[in-house]
Amino acid sequence: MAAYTGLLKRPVSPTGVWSWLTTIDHKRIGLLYGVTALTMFFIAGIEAVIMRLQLSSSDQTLVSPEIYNQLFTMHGTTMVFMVIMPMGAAFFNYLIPLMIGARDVAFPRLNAFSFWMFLFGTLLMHASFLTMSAPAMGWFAYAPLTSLEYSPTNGVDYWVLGLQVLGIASMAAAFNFVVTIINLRAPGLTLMRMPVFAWMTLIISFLLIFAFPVITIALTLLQFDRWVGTNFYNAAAGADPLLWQHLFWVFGHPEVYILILPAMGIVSDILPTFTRKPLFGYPAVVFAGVAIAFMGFGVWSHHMFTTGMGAWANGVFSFATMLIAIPTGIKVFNWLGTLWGGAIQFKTPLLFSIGFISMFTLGGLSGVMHAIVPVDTQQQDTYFIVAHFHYVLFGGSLFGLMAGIYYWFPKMTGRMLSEGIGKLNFWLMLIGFNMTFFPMHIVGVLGMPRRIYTYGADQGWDSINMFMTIGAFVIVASFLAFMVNVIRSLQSGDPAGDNPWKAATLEWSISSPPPHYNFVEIPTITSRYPLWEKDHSVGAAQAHGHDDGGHAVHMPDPSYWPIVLSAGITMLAGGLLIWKWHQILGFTVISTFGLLALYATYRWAFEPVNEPNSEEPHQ
Amino acid sequence: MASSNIREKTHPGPRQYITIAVILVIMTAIEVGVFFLTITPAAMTGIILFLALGKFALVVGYYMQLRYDDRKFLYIFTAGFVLALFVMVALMALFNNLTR
Amino acid sequence: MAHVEPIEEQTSTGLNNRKLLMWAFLGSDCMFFGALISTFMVYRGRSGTSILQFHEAHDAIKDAIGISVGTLSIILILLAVVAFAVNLIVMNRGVVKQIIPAVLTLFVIVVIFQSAWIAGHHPEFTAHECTEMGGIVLPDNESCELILAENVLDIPLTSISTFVLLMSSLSMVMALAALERNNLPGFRTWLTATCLLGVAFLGFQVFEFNAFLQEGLTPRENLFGSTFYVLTGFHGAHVTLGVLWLSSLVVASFKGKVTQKSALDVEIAGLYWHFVDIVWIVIFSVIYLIGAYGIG
Repeated sequence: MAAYTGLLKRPVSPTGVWSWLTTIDHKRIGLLYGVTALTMFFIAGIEAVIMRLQLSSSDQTLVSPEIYNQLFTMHGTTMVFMVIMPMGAAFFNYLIPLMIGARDVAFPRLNAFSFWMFLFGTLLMHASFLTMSAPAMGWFAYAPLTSLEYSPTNGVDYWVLGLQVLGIASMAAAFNFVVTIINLRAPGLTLMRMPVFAWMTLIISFLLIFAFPVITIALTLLQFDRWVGTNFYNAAAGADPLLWQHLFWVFGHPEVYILILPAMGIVSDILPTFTRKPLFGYPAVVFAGVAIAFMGFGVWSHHMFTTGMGAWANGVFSFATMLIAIPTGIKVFNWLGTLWGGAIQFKTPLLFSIGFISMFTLGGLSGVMHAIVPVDTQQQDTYFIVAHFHYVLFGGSLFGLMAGIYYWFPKMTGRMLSEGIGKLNFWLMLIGFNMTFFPMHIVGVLGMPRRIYTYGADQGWDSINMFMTIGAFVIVASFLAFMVNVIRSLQSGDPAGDNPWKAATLEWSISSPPPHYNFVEIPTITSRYPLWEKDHSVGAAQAHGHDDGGHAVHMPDPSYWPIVLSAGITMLAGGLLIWKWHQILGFTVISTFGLLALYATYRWAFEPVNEPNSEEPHQ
Repeated sequence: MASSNIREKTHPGPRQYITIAVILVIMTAIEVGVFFLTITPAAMTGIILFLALGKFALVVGYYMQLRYDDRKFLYIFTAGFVLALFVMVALMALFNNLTR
Repeated sequence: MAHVEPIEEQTSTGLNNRKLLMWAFLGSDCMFFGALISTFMVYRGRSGTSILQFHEAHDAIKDAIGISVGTLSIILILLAVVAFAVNLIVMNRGVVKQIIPAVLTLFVIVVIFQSAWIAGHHPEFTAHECTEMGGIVLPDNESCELILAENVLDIPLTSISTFVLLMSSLSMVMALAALERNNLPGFRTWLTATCLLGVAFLGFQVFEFNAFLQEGLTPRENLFGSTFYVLTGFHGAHVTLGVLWLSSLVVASFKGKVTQKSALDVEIAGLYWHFVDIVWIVIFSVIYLIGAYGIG
């Protein structure tokens, strides 16, 4: 009996495009995030390569200053919001239910909604390229540059609206994972027995739900300034452009911890597998993560040391920033302690993890330098800062995420990646990364400012910049190796089996890729490393042929309301853009899609988890 | 473990709710009354904030049942509330608007 | 919201997933309003000058608001008529049982229509600009009083609306108590009362906004105007969403979909409603009482 919950029949088939558009399976959603994030990584990477080409020598004219401004703005915005965050999301979507012994997240349709909002927000922001008016004010969009007077094109508007949509995506996911990790753990899995990655996901979910509302307000105030003509950031009206900076960085600093903690979690779970011993000081690593999250809300003005806040404010934030290095250092020492005395297997995931630890530490060191106010006064807005954040975000987050890709690719696809090409990938990336970004410390101290589209020959920065551009192409080569590895493996990689790395955590107790219901029976957990326990009760049900294809397990049916609601909200945002150009048309679009969104919300709310008499889908 | 909404025996009933409502109205009346007195701004601010916090606590504790429910709800909500308070005070201090 | 079962009935903590979600959301919403109130507090006392930008765009704002509110009210009226008719015809209920939803709908329509009419028609919906402050001389060159908190906020009126919202919290919790005791008629009465009180509060807000607009306080007039409208506007939007949510529950209960077993759903809606009330407690105390006491 077909089920008509709306104009369209509710989908139940497990294959085809429609099944992907309506999926609520966390594993599929994770894959969707991953593929989208990798695509955006290549786009942002191309933006970076063009910038490096433009800067390779003095007085180049490859791109105009206006185009260059759009390049660095989009590169930064894309990498932060559309690459690192969703790649982390790809991992926690795929893995958290597996790691905690659940069948799915607490709110599967909300999970799908998060992904579609992310995709549509990305498309909305990138639509600005079609009208040749991409945002060009820097990824943190300081006022009053963002006012209508100084940014008359629609670039800022696309950016603001895109970010609002992306913000809803992130917050929805964060709420979902707070509830999932707190409430859906298998029996016996106490919080202190969870994989560190699950802990880090819980922590960043809290960071997201408390930090994002602040940038929502900052963006909304900017929208009011640009759309309605208020003066929230207009000094002539008595306002203070610094309000933007404060509101942005109250969000922005927790945001950078949101960017790094998942990678730290990944590395913390990879190291034990390849050293054949438990993580050194698990409680310390967890509590350090919690401490970093707390303290992360108290350091935001270290991005504003040169704005004239006064000695007291500078001193307080400088002190707090130095303090936050302590829990970070604790983590580093614990990772080293895990490696020390371990039976180390130098597989690609471990290489990337070691790369992560070393490169992130270097980035942390330059970070501590920035914490010293007089030193920061020289470094602010120079390439020294660019070096710092690329060391922590590329050398840190991205290396950690690469480690995760190499580690969990077998689980997600059932195929092994090539070790040989993997090692080539790693070494090319490590060398290329250091070639590109280490000299930025030097050239920054030599005075090269950020966000300049060219520089004079008399500066003496030519040879260093040329060196860095060559390094960028080494990075490109490393990603070509990565793509070759992935494509080869998908076509003809070795079968992975359930647990190719002989790892300890729950996700390795089920097949690769896992069945759509994850576990035949939810296991009972008695330790942090369940698969390394002697009696090995976990996985017994799977291993001894009790896997009946999950006929007794009822999974929720797919739904199209998440994608419909996402489309409605995004089109509403688009309507705001149209409103700027033509009021009546814009208002019609806004109200039509607003009502659609309201309708979709109601239908979603009243849609049952399962359709009566639906066939059990086997995805 | 059941996922039902666990209620203790001391859970308030309609009578207590009405009592609390009366208290809230009285507190609001005092607040408005104080507004029409001539006292120093500092004193006025102090009284109003005290009463507002009291009303906040009453509604959160009794109407939203935080006094009777699991502590985890209290922790999550308080985290957001305290953080918001901290950001507010910090921003006012940074903009030199704290002592106006 | 009504009868969707979660995947797992058993949770690690014994707490319900959706209730945990609502509390997390409320914690997050504290930060949302915290940032808004911070903006208001940071800009308090800085409205010393009055700026009028985009003179040509000024009338466009007035027109836009008129068109927007007018269109919205027409759409809502049509929806209400359709809903009323569908309820009557399809649901086969007698006219008597329609009275409460009908009254509610009419109340909302009247409030919105009235504000649309005022916004579109009132001749004094303009911003003041005084020659003394170096601005443009407009035809209605009245007194050059700065439009600030002290001379525009109406404390007695807002005290009444505060009282109304407080009573709506009481009726909300009485509705929940009635449902838990399986008293369905009582539940419907109290919940409908909550909706009506919420709509009444919105009516007071709309009235207040209109009054301010007539006195020349627009969102663009000065920083007080900007921060005030954005803060109270977002609060009003939260109230509106709450009224929509609660009235859906009322309608669902008339269809027999809300029973003693769905008390948790009502409780969760109630949590949201009480939060909206406590945000108003903060706004009333800080922005109205402390704000209008002659400081800044």
